[in-house]
Amino acid sequence: MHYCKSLIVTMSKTEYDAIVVGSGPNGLAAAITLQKSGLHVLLVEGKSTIGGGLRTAELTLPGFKHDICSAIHPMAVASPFFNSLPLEEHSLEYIQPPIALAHPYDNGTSAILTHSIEETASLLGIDKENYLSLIGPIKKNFHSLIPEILGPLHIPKRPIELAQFGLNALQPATWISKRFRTSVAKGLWAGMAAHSILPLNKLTTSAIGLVLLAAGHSRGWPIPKGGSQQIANALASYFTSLGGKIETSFNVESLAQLPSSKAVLFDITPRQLPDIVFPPSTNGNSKNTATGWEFSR
Amino acid sequence: MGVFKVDWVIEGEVPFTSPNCRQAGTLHLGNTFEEITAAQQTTWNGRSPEKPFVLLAQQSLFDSTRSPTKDKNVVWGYCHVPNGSTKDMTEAIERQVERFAPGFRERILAKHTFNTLQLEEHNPNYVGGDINGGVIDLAQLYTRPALRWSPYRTSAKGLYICSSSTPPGSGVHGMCGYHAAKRALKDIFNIKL
Ligand SMILES: Cc1cc2nc3c(=O)[nH]c(=O)nc-3n(C[C@H](O)[C@H](O)[C@H](O)COP(=O)(O)OP(=O)(O)OC[C@H]3O[C@@H](n4cnc5c(N)ncnc54)[C@H](O)[C@@H]3O)c2cc1C
Ligand SMILES: Cc1cc2nc3c(=O)[nH]c(=O)nc-3n(C[C@H](O)[C@H](O)[C@H](O)COP(=O)(O)OP(=O)(O)OC[C@H]3O[C@@H](n4cnc5c(N)ncnc54)[C@H](O)[C@@H]3O)c2cc1C
Repeated sequence: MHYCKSLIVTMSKTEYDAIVVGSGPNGLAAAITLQKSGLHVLLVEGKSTIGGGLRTAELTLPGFKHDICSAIHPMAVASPFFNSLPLEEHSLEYIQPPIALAHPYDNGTSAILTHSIEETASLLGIDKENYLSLIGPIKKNFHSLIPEILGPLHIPKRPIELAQFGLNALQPATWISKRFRTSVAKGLWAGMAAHSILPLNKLTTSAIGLVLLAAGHSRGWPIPKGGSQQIANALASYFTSLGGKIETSFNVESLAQLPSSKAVLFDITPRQLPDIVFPPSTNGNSKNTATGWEFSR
Repeated sequence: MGVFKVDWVIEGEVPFTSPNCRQAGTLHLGNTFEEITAAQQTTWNGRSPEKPFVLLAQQSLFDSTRSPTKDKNVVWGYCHVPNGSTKDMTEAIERQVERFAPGFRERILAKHTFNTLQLEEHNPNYVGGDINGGVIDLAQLYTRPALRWSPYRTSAKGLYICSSSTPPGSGVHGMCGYHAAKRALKDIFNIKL
C-alpha cells in the first residue's frame, strides 16, 4: 500500500519532463530542442492560436492575410537552429522579393539592398568602396560568424573574424556613418541601424545594422509563403511529429496550474514571472524576499 | 520602446515614385540620416515624432496567397513610439508613405491599427507596450534578464527564461529558446548537446 502510493506520486511527478510556457519562436525552439533530446514535453500557449510574434490573421477584410507582428525574416533564415530542422518537410516555403529592401529619398531615387553586394554598393556612388570594405568581410564570414553572433556569452570559436565584426559592431551607428560621404549611403545605413530600439548614438546600434545588411547579401530578407504564421505552424508540426504535445488557450497565471514536471521554461519576460511564481492570491507582497528570487528590473 | 502598427488593404500597388521600391519586400521610409536620427531620438526622449521612421512591407506583391484578388494588396507598416504610448500615429505614418508614393491614401480600402496597449493585449510579452522586454544596451546584452551566471536560469531550480529577453535578443531566430533548452538539459537532465 505504502509502496503503491509513492509510486503514484512518482508517476504524477513525471507527467512531463519539461513544460514550455508560450509558443513564440523561442518557446517553439525550446520545446523542439527538449523533445528532440528524448524528453516528454508539453508546450502551453495562453492565446487560442500559436506563434506569439509570428501570428498572421485576417485583420481587415475576409481573405486578406496580415502579419500582426513580424513579417520579414533575415534572422530566421540565418538562424543555425532553424537551419538544422527539416521545416520544408513541414510546408515552410520562403519567397525572396527581387529587392530585399529599398530606401527612397525625396528626390525620387532610392538605395537598395539586393543579394549582390556589388549591385548595392554600385548605387552608392563614391561610397561604393566604403560600403564594400565595411560589409564585405562580414558577408564573407557570415556563415561562420552567425553562430557566434547569435550565441550566449562563450569562448568564440572564430575569435579573429568575431573581433573584426566586433570592432565595427561596438561603435555607435553615428560613428560608422562618418565613413560615408554621400547622403544616399548615410541614409541607407541609418535605416538599418534604426532597427535597434536605441537612439543611433548609443553603442550596439551598429551590430543590428551590420547583421541586417550582411544577411541581405547572404540568405536574403525573405517572407514565408502564406504569412509568418507558417513558420510557427511548421515548427509546431515538427514538434508534434516528434511526439510533443501542445495546448492552446491555456494562460498560465500560477505554477500550480501546470502539470508536474522537472523543468519549466518561460517564453515570457522576466517582468511577468514573479506574478506566476508567486500569484497575488496566494502570496501578497513577499516576492523577491521569501525565496531569494532575483529580479533586477 | 513600443510600436504603432498599421495594416492596410489597398487597390492596386503602392504608387512609389522610385521604380525600385515597387520591387522591394521591405521599405525604409525616413529619408536622410539626420531625419531618421532625429525621429529615433525624439521617441527615445518620450515623444512621438512628427516624421517617424516607418518600416513598410508589401508581402502580397510576391506571395499571391495573402490576398484573394491580384488587384488588391496587403501592406504592413509600423513606427517606433514611446513605451505605453496610445497616440494614434496612423496620420503621421500615412504622410510618410504618401511622401514617397503620392496617391497612396486614395487607394486605401481598409485598415486596422494597433497602439502599444492593444499590442500588449494581443501578446502579454509586450509589457506596457514595450516590444523588446528590456532595452538592449551594451551592459545588458549578455547579462539580461539579471546578473547571474547563466542568463537563462532563474534562481529557482528548474525554472528558466527562454524568451527574447535573453541573449541574443529580439527577432525571429529561435536562438534564445535553443540556448535556454540547452542549459536546462545540462542542469536538470544531465544531457549535453
Ligand atoms: C510590430 C512588430 C513587428 C516585428 N517585425 C519583425 C520582423 O519583421 N522580423 C523579425 O525578425 N522580428 C520582428 N519582430 C520581433 C519578433 O516578433 C520578436 O522578437 C519575437 O516574436 C520574439 O519571440 P519570443 O518567442 O521571445 O516571444 P513572443 O513571440 O512574444 O511569444 C511569446 C508567447 O508567449 C505567450 N504567453 C505570454 N504569457 C503567457 C502566459 N502567462 N501563459 C501562456 N502563454 C503566454 C504569448 O501569447 C506568446 O504567444 C516584430 C515585432 C513587432 C511587435
Ligand atoms: C523588417 C524588419 C522588421 C523588424 N522589426 C522588429 C521589431 O519591430 N521589433 C523587434 O524587436 N525586432 C524587429 N526586427 C528584428 C530586429 O531587427 C532584430 O531584433 C535585430 O536584428 C537584432 O537582432 P539581435 O538581437 O540578434 O542582434 P543585436 O542585439 O542587434 O546585435 C547583433 C549581435 O551582435 C553581437 N554583439 C553586440 N554587441 C556585442 C558585444 N558587446 N560583444 C560581442 N558581440 C556583440 C551580439 O551577439 C548580437 O546578437 C525586425 C527585422 C526586420 C528585418
